[in-house]
Amino acid sequence: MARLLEDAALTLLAEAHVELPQWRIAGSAEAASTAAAAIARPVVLKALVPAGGRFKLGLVRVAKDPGEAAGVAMELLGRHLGPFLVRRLLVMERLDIAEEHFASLTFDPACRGPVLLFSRAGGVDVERHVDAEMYRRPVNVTRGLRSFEGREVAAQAGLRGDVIVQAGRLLERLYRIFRACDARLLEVNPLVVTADGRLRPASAVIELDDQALFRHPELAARLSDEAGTGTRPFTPLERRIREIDEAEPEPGGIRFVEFPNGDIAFMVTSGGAALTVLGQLVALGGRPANAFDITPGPNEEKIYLTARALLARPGLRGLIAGGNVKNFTRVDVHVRAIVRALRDAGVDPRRFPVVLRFAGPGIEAARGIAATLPGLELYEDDTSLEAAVRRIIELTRTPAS
Amino acid sequence: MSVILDGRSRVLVQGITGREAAVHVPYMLAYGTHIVAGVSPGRGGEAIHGIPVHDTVLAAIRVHQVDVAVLFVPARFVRDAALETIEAGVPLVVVLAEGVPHHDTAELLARAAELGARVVGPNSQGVISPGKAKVGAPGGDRPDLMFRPGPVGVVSRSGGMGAELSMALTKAGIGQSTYIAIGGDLLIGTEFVDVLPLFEDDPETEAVLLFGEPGTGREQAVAELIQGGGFTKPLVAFIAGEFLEDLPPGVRFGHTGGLIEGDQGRPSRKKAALRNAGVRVADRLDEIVPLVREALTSRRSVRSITRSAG
Repeated sequence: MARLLEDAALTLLAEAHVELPQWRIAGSAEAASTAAAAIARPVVLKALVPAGGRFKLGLVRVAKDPGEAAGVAMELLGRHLGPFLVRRLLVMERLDIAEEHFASLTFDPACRGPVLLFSRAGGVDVERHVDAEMYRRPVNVTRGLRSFEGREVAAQAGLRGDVIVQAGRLLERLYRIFRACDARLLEVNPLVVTADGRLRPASAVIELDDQALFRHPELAARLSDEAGTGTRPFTPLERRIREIDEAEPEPGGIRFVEFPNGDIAFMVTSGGAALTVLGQLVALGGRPANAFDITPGPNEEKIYLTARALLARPGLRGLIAGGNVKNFTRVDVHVRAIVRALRDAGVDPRRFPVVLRFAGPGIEAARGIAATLPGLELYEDDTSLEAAVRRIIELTRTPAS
Repeated sequence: MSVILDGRSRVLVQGITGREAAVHVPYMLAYGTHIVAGVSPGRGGEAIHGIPVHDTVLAAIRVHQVDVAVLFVPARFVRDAALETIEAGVPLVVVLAEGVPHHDTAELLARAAELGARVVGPNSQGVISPGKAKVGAPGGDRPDLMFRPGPVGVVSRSGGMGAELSMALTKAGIGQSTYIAIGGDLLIGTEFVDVLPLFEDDPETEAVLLFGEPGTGREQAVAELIQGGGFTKPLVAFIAGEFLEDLPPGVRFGHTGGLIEGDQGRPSRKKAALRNAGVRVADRLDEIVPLVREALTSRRSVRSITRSAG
């Protein structure tokens, strides 16, 4: 999923007229000091990195004046949150907190649509709170989430007084943003009630729907490449394969994740099959170097380039490629791309085991192509996917002669 | 027998002039699928493979009875095409496209629910009732290689693996009543728990094979259905992706429904819930066919006992 950095998420809220604490971005201690001075109140400084759990890692800090803000900024900038380097800070007005709630919009398959989740138990550890405290409300997508529904949920959750009215207004707006930007998740935590009774989001998370980015080029541009896989930045190999994937005619069809310490290159495709075979490989003691999938289409060149990039990874002991039986996708195209990559990379399957398991249209032609590379093993529909996995494990365990 | 689709089902193909339909419609016809009409805006009045083409679904249903519509329409046009079909009153709509925006899916599923239509998909490979009819991709141009008529219902979140496992059954001499690819997306119109009661009521289906994936509570809902008595035939299940539990959370492979968010999305939880409900759960792919055979045997012995007792 495509997670926006918090400043981009807050901007979307502000554009939809959601009232927020004052905030600025700072990339240096001096800028942090200036931002705190402009806000003219105590501030919270948050590291802008695409990861959760910042509070516990000490990357959310308080400063009571511009001088302190500069000091904190100096400590945070240039630090790493796990693998993420802190380059920018969000400097936000520190709210005088009376209560901390939680609100989120997401999709629930059981409701076949969006749901509003609301809890009075907001804050750092919200995920630990039991479901009983979480109020759920399926949203009627035809008419959207209305203020009264937001008020009902807020009242049900135990909010009292004018805050209920504010919650209704806010939740209606949040749903509109969720819908308008094709988000898969919009989460506000904490949703603060200030000491003087104002309801204010003190943070916002928005994850966009990858499948809808085509109609939001402006949001796609705001997505930070820094976000990586969501838990770490992209590796150089992942970046290379992303470049390959951006090429025409059908950009965006590859999913590739590199695993550390793996030694079997993995190019088994097609959603469920990739997942299943990867699982079997791990369960049987194999160590995949990566996960890979590609949307069917005119993609021979992409498969070739991916295989070339992947085969250049050091420490590999073998390659497994193929997939489930295909209905339509021509397997000879896939086999040709792989054989070409092996040949151009100077890989000798007699020394570097390569197991292919293909079934479907074009298998006769694939047989001929595979036969041009001695040592390459092509299995067909009379060999199960599991048997192919066993074979690559067996071959990569045996020392090459 | 079969469920959802048979040789009498009258099928409408939406997007019949497109690239995907050009491949699969001839295969569907060759398999005996009763295609009565096609829709392609601006191409009304033409005929493709002898099938009359209409500009709109509404125009098509004025002259043809339609039981099933299959959408060979790219993801970004699915919402419009599916709503058109649902509004026109077609009772069953199969959506093949992968990559439909989630808000679009939510909208079309909501409308389908209001009008009482069933949607299979999105991101479904299609449906095949072996020996009778198929809609979508299953089997391609050589359906007999993968599918044969028989007693096992197959239902899968992955089209590819559903076909693969059906092929394994076929090679082992076990045929299928109907294979339904319910789709790999997070939001889908027809869940496992919607399909199983159909198989329950189908006298020819003696056992069901289910392919599950990480993410969502789809498989747990099956366990609940069984425990509530809503499905009583033998069920064999395989759940892919348990190894993901050892990776950092949020790593996504394959399907949009496959993201583990929360405990219920864990394959280990799904397997435990299903086993607890008496489902035969395979840990390895090659265990599946033997378990299906065992399930069929158990079913037959129970039936013969029932018969002799009656």
